[in-house]
Amino acid sequence: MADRGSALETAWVLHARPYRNSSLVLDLFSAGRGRLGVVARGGRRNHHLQPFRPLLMRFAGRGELLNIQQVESAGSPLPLAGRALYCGMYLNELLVRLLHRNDPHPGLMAPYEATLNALATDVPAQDVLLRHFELALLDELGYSFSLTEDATGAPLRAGQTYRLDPELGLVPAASGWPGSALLGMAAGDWQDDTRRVARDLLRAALAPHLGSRPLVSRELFR
Amino acid sequence: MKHSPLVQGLIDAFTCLPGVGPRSAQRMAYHLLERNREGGGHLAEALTSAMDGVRQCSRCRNFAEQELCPICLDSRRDQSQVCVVSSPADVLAIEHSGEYRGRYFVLLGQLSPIDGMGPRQIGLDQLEQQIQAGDISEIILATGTTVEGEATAHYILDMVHGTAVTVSRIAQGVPMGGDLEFVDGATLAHAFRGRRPV
Repeated sequence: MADRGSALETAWVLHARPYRNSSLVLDLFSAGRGRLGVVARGGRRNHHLQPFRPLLMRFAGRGELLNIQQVESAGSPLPLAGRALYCGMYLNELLVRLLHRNDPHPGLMAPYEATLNALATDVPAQDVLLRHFELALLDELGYSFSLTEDATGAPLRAGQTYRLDPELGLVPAASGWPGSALLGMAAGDWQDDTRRVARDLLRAALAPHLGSRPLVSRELFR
Repeated sequence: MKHSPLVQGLIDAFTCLPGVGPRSAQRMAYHLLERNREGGGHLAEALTSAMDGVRQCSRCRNFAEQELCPICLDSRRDQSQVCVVSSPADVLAIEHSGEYRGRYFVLLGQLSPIDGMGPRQIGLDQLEQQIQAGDISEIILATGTTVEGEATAHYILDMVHGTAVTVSRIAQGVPMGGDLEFVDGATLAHAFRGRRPV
């Protein structure tokens, strides 16, 4: 009965892999279940089962791979093209690499959808959207750090440089991330300098959690 | 019951085939051992010679038994016109259509970061060298219409930008003998955008 009673849930395809003749093994991101693996029998004939398309699904089964009982489109596919598409693939790679299966992250669905929707409108500052998402992801995973105070609780100073300690947060150091750019990030003042620092800082903040394998989607940005 | 080491080795070897699990592997191994020793020996020879003799064409990455594949060697074909596809099966499909007289570039995959497939893994550095060397005058993109296919097409478009190479993409739309009613909305939208005067 527990399976029967499950309702339609919002879900996004992060990744689809062909399985047998006509089926797919999907990595999904759902609001209620986090990242989950499912088998879609005959899924290669269902053009809905693609990334960047809001879906409603009902699942059945238990264990590592669930079955899809029902799929409905919850809107038209997001028109991501070119760099926006690369950005979307980057988001999906981040989620696949950083979220454990069946570990719900309800707080991450809104930032994910908002970022994809903004990417679909062809905004110029795509990198800023990615930075906001990376911050939300770190926060959701419990790895966030303050951009206004250092590890001791003292306010950041524009003239000081800081290093990032994964455990403690930002620590004043003789060289490192410039305080001015960090304060710019906190204030949402995205000057060119700030954007460069933000990219490298968040890359460094994510690195320990990604392991030794680099993110392939970063190679798409030339 | 445990299999003897040689039989177990054969069963394990069969599981490298896609869609073959331990049970079907066991059935295949028993079949060859019980009923078709000759076929088994033939399979072993064919496997060995193919694994040793088949390599990638150094120009288009398709399967070849020499430095270049038959299509790249064919001087009657336009060697400066290049159709980019993701698999050897796509080459076969296009060859069957009988429409195309250029050569191919076979990616053996598509850009798919989560599968570890980046630009280098699908040979795009090699394609870029051929573009830079001036060997190519026209590229026809025939990657799929999936997210990965779109990303691959866009990446190649970026690579070609600023060179004299012309790029086109095969048309997408309503299949032959198809009823509009059964065509999905996205395909229909594409077909409308790509309509042409008759």
